[in-house]
Amino acid sequence: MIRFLLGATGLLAGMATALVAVLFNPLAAPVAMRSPEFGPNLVKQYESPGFRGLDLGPVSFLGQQGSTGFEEPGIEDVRVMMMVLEADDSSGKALAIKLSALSADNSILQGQLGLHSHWNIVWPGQGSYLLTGQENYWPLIRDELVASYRPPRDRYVVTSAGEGLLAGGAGRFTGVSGAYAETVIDENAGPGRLHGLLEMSVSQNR
Amino acid sequence: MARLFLASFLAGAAVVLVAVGLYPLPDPVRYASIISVVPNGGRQEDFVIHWPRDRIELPAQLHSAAGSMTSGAAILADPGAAPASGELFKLRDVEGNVIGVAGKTTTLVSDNDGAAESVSNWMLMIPSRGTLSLSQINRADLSPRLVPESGGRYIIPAEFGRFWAGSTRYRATAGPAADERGRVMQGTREFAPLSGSYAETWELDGVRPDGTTEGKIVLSTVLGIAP
Repeated sequence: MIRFLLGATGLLAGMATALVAVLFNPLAAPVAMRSPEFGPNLVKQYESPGFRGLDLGPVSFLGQQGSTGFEEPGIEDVRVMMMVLEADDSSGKALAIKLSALSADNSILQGQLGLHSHWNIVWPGQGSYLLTGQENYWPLIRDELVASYRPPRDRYVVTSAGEGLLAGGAGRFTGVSGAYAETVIDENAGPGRLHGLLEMSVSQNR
Repeated sequence: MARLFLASFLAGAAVVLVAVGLYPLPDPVRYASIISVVPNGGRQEDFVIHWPRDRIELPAQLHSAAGSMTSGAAILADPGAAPASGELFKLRDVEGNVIGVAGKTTTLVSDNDGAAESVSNWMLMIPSRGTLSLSQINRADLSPRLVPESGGRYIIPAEFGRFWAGSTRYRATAGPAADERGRVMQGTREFAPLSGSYAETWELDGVRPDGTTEGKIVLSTVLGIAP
């Protein structure tokens, strides 16, 4: 009996230790640095207008489709958004499209549960930026899973380190290049609430 | 006793790590790429969007933020500047399979001579393969607009019969690449090593009794390995 209890205790302790190691893996895929380390020279904020497709809850990343998902098999793991980036001192309002799909590189062991994301941002009468990046929502998902132990933060940088690229532009912005990072602020906020920040480091090549 | 505890501890840890490692995360469905080789080099692949049924309806909340919407498109007007529009679509291969989604933005900008020209950017995202970013100068402004007979609603000109004036095919792309084709700006993953050009063509299938139209937008790409 003692041997059985000892074995069961060891088994449970091993499982719990492994689970904690997975959740708080120090080798998890890093996300981009926040400013000022990132050095943005254009910061735009947006409010959540809603989305179509994949939601960003843990079950979606684990293969359980959200209620607003697309039915077609080819796009069942896709999320589309369109939003207005607010005007600020450096630039006016812009209309932005964000297309995302579950990343092919996702791995729970490596702390990577994310999306391939692409932005198409157009400024009226000026032109557009095209951004492409890899995102990791693992820190946000992990903190939701252990919320009773440690409350989630109110904002998360989701762009993976070195993976947010300003790929080019059109119109007045032809020849731009650079990098970007996105910060998600309270994903569960309703419409009209501040939803995210898009920080861009833009350089003009011509 | 200590060895028993250690063995069961390691077994428990291994069970969790193996279960997590083998958990089947979702993998995007992939359809066979339908590609043909063009005589002068490169490969041609056409992507198709049926209008109006492939337009992705936008969240109603966007209406107040963007200023105005028509079916599947949003318009942002900035005082003193030409409006900009954004559109979302499901993307198909030539056999009609939905393989991805597409986003298109359009606005009017001033060219080198100061004249206004309409420019559009497309993003074609195919989850199983990657994304293509495309840029073009338009032959004419095809973005949503207000017309007197639309009763204050924005409409997309090509989605009404009057636009076609007896023809059934309209080539939208007029540059900036050679042969009045658009430019492939960038690709990711499978498309990363590729560059090339494309053309956007609208093909009318029919006019409905209420004057609206249905048809397809064909994005015909010619891609090759970037030098």
